Amino acid sequence: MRRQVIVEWNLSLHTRNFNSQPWILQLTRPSQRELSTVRNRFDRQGCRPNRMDISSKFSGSASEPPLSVVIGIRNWGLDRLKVALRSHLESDTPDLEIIISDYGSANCDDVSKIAQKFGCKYIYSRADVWSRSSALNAGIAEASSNNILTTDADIIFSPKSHDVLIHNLQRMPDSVQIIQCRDLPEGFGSESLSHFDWNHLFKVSAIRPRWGMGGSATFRKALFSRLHGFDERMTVWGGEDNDFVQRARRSGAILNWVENPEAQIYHIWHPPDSRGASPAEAKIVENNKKLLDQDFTVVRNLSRSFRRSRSSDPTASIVIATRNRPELLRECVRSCLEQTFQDFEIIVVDDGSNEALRPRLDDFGDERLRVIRLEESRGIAYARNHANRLARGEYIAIQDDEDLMLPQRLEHQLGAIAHDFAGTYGGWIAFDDQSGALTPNPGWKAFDLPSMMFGRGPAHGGILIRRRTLDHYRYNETFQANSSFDLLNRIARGSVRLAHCGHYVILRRLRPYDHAGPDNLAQKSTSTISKAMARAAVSADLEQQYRKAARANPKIQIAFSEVMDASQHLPRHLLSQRVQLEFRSPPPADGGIMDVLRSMLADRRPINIKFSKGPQGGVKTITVACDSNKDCNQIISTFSEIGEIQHVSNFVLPRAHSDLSRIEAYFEGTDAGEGEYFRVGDDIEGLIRTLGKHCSRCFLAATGKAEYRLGLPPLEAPVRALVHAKISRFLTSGRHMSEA
Amino acid sequence: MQTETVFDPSERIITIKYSPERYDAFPPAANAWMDGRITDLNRDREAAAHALLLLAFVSGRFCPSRGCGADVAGSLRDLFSPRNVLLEGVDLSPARIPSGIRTAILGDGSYRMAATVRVTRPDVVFKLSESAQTTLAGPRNMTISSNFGLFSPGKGQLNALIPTIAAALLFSEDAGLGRLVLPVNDLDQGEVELIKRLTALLAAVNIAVDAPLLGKELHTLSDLLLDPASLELFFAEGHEYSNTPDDLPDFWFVRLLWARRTGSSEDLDEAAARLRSFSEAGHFFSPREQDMIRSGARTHM
Repeated sequence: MRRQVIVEWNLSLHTRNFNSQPWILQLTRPSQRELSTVRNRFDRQGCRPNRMDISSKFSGSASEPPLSVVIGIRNWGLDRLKVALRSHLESDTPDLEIIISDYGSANCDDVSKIAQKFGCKYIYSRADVWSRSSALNAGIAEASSNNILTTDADIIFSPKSHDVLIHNLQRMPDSVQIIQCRDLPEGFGSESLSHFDWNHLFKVSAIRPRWGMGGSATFRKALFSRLHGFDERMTVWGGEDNDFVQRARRSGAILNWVENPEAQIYHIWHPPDSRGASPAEAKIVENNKKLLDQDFTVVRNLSRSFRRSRSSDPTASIVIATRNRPELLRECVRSCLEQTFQDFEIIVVDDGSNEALRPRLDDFGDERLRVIRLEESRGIAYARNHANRLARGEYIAIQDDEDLMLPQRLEHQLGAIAHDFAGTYGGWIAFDDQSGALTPNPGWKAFDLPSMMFGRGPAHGGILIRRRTLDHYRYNETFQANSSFDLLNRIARGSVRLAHCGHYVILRRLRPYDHAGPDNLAQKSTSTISKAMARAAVSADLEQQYRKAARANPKIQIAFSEVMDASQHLPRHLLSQRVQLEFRSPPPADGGIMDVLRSMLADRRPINIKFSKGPQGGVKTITVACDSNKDCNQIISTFSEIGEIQHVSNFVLPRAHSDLSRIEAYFEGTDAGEGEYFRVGDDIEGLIRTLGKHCSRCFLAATGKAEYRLGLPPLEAPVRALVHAKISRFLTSGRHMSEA
Repeated sequence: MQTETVFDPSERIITIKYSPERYDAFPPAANAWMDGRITDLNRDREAAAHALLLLAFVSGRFCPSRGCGADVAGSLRDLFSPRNVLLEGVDLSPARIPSGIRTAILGDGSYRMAATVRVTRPDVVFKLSESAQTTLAGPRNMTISSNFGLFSPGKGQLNALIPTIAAALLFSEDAGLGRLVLPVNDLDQGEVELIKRLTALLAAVNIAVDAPLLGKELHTLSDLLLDPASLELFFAEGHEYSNTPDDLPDFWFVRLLWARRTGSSEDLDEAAARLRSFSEAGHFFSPREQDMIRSGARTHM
């Protein structure tokens, strides 16, 4: 017999000096005394263990149990718990795994002793508020079986129940199995259930209406991954079972009420508890109901991870086909690993790269990453089909090897799967790989055949879709290129529903040779074939209707701030580092600031200036390009000699969009028209003094000897005319029209 | 689940609409459709087709488009077992049951189909295609352009054919079908139970089900298969997305079985190795197929 304790806590919650990786302490064969000592020491150090896992196992029993019974508990009657455990242990199904997920019981020592006595796995989560959802999720995450039974500590199961549930799951793998509960009357509490007379219990009990799920739900672990657990926004209790089942149904799983007389479950009588009775708890229960009635999404808890090992199926598989692009692939994979949602795997299929250009990803050291190498190139369609077959995630996120995922891609796309949608897509931002110029494309609202036929489809590399759909629809390997367009056409024709998630999800890399060459010819050819075949099947009238429908498909509106946020994730060589200094009060013009600005401009550093409000104007904020942190510190030091600095911030800008004031104007919604650019002479002091009285901000960059480029934000017409008049004496050769 | 059959104004597309109810799952597409016009559609066969198409998604109640007759109600209910599904719209008045005399083999592009064709000599080959833009309906071949394949109830040789059976039922009266031949050989326990219920259901609508290779040892199929080279076109037609038969496990099973027949140990090893790599790459194989792949087939010679 071997007993193991795992205590895991996250130090990042308590100190900023540690990274956010959980620390795990493992003790083998600890005594109760040792356990108490460990716990006390944690408390003294102010470290709060997240999870405590005590498992008792016979060594050598490596096979998967037929069913994992997960019981959520907090400050629960221990006598009832013992009776419930006994009913599971007396099941006709041997080798059940029983997991007690204790969500912060005050008497956790007593509970863990019971777990030990009955040979159960014990998981402790420190918590202040009872959450049945969180307790069950924590327990399921540790389950060894693919068949999961969630239940409560006051429910007893007749001996054949487990067998019936397992049998039903074999016949209906995509289902939630529910046994209708029977309530035992007063007098049938834990004290009177020293043995189970099942016939008698049936006779005296009353059937409970099907309001909720009646104390148990049985399903496959894959379904848990697909839904990503019970909704942890639902605290206390009430609604989480119903919500789980409704989401299961939306995702394609049935609800089956088990109607087999041999499968019976009973609720042990006990005095009504007070949970949910206080006004605060009643409000929580009401909130749970609101979530149940109004939230039609499928995947929840997107900031949490329930995947404890590589062997358990992830919620999402990111699939990438690649060939001869090791550096671009590295950037791509890095962007995938930085997702805010972490329950995923990455499958990279290398389509026969040359020896020197093979993917080199070992140093990422992430066990979620798998690289599959095809010895010879078979084409991208074959590679993608190959990757999809290997994927174990319930959803597949298609990713192109040269593109970058925005950090919230999975979170946004999984979170937008609602109703019967099989997947989602999002907007994309194209970036020029040489200049960094950004072209946002939010995409179109509807995904349907007319839109696909008339060029309003989503970006293939921004699709997230049920794996089941791609089991049926495969890339056509006979197409040399653009099999993705053909695939999306067929999926749209198949009436599969995809929703726009309302966000930008990828940065698409544009390279100079994207618009020419044999690949591009093949792509055009494939698109032509796909469109021609689709049109061949419809009458001219119907085609006309489709054309109109496609035109009526509106573009999605996405806040410009997302473009700015996304630009922070461009490759480093396309970004320019900035330091922004805010003065407590404008420094005097004769205090050397003009000399410093002139010197910065001579160093080819673009500068953005914000002026102080009021008739005197004056420089309030200065933003300067810098090369490194050292350089940045030097700049701060220089300016701090001129005036008192109130605030310093560092950020990056896309290299192609170096004029911060123009971006800010756009960001603030004051971008009523184009900003303007001028060539000005070297009277920087006079220029700044003049602008400070009439503008809120300006941009300056050196263009040549004694000549500068002045950028102004969009201005109201009268102000604009006034400013034009005032700066005319500084101009050298008229107006610039382009920003570049 | 309430179902409805809708013919579009041109009567070229048949759409099956459905409304999931409290216990039902939401199917994987907004609706199911087939390209093609049906002139005669028997109510009971329609109900059976809808039940098969939505087999994995119904729980609680099933209300077929136009109801069904008493003759078929029992077997229709049993189809969903162990679910206890309530059937609505049962009409007790006597009604005509259509009959047909033609035999259709249901095409799945597998090596089993290639062998089954030689046993049964069917009148017509009936199959579904998700990529064909229009239906091909001829006296010997019917290729139905449809999204029915999405509704397959799961993995397995029979499960994969369920949507095709549903489509064949809808076309059965027009095509004069009286017998469906299923190219299945190795079924899991759930499918073994399902084929019994399926046979009973189709018998109630006057269609016989035949699975001549069911349960036969795999190696006995080698006598029925043509040599691999002769089957290349067959596999190309059956797997529209694939570039070459070399990428198809079915093709390599033919090579494996053919190697057994000819006694070529080199070919046998090559085929077994290739099939093992397909298995590792996530292709589905039945338990019997897995056994043969694992053993390298050498021990069975």
